[in-house]
Amino acid sequence: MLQKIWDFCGEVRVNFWLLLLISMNLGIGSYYLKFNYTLFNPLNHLLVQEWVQKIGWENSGQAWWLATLLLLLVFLGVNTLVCALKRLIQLWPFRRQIGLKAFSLRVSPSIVHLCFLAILGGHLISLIVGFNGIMPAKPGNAAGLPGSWKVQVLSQGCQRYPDPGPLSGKIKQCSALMRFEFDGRSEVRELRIMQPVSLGGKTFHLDLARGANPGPELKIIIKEDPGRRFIFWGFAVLIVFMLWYFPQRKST
Amino acid sequence: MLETNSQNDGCKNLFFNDPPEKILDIYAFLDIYVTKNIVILQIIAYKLMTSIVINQGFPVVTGFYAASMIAWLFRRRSVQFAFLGLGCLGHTIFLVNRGGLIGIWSPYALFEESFFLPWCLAALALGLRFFPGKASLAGGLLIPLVAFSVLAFLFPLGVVPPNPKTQTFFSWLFFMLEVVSHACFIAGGVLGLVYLRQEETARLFHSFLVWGFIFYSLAQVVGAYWAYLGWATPLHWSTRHLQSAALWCFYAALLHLRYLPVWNLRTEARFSLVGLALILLYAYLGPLTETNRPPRIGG
Repeated sequence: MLQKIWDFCGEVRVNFWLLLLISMNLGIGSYYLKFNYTLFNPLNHLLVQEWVQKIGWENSGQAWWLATLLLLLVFLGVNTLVCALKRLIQLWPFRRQIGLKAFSLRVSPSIVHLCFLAILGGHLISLIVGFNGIMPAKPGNAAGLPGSWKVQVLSQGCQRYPDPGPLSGKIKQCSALMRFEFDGRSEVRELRIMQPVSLGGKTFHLDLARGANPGPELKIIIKEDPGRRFIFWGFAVLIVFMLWYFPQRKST
Repeated sequence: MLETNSQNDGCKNLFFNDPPEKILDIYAFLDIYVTKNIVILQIIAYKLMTSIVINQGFPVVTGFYAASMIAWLFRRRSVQFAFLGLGCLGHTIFLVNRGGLIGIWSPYALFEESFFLPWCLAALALGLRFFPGKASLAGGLLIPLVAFSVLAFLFPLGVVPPNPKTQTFFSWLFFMLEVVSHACFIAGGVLGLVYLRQEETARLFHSFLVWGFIFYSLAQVVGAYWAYLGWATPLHWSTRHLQSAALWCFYAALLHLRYLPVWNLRTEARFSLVGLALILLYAYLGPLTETNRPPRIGG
């Protein structure tokens, strides 16, 4: 029985259909997002369980695709792991016989699959673990964060394109000077758009907010995301092995 | 067009409304206005460039591509590649000019899908000329090339002005890689169709799909990092991100097809056509039906 389950979980046919179903599920979900912006946008600032509790549960008719997506992704994760392990177990005894280069080429798809697994796992961690917070970047504004953190906005401002010119008056860059107090330390750092500050496991991003006032309003996104490292490293190694494998695939 | 201001309007009246016979000495004219206000001349140059290169340039380029396609239909291969080369050259000049359209260099304007995708298809078709025994396949790519060039007329010529989030290396690298991968997928789909019509040399379509997938994966890495820096998350819950993930999963499934017992190249060719439809749906139909478009400069 266990052998049958193991074999089924590691079948390429299952993998193919799962990927196709996930693609369809994501496509359908994208249109739910498009036409229900206010419903799904909070997913970007809340952990998924918080979103389900506060919003999703009451709107389950609109959010079914998210549940099926997560379920299919879990199945895909299991399938990918079993596929990769089966292939590695199969190839391992031949590692000396076929030589290092040929062996590394043949295990490349399994490594690519394991990297994909790391990316999936990273996304799952990002969705359910960590901390998300937003605070307006107004001078004097202060906030306490979990773990006896205190952050305060000292000053902020935006630089605009010169006048006259085709872009006159448009925002070029914004910055905010912040004081961070944590673990008995106090640091003053400058945040700029696209240049976040990383401190004590948290990252602080400066962003433009959609405010009611005509002038630019700034916000600070505070994030603790343990999954992001898995995502970036998984992607980087995946690309390296894909570039190594595909051009040489015919020779194997 | 360019946002108007009082200087700009004055300059427009002076240059375009005054009859040419009134300007007796062009050098004196230039001397006066260069010394008085060099910005005015820059704006004149900008307006001229906009009207000539941007408004007239792309129809000419499309004309070259159409001529290349007609030559292919009449089996005049040397004429076909001559027109294709001319079109590609003109298109390159058009794109470079578009990059500088708003007065500062904007790679985003260069790599915007509506105008950069046809260039990628033209480059791929031209590239096939140099593959032994594959030159005949270039003709197949001319049909989508002309179709996407014509489709570009539905998109605004103007450029989305840069904002603090797009002024980064990751932003334009992402757009460039994404469009290159779309071009590879489209080429793969079209050559897949050629293969289905019993053209054995079109087996090459699989290579296009593989390279498309590699470029698309690279685009996803760069895009995820860009999103993390700008929006604090590698995956933003938005239509754009979900459709990108849907396309990636579809092509990942397609590449797994060959490991199935029922696989043959014809099945893969049929799937590549579905991919083509998905690209049209996600990358073209979406932006074309978008009502909340960002304001543009230059038309």
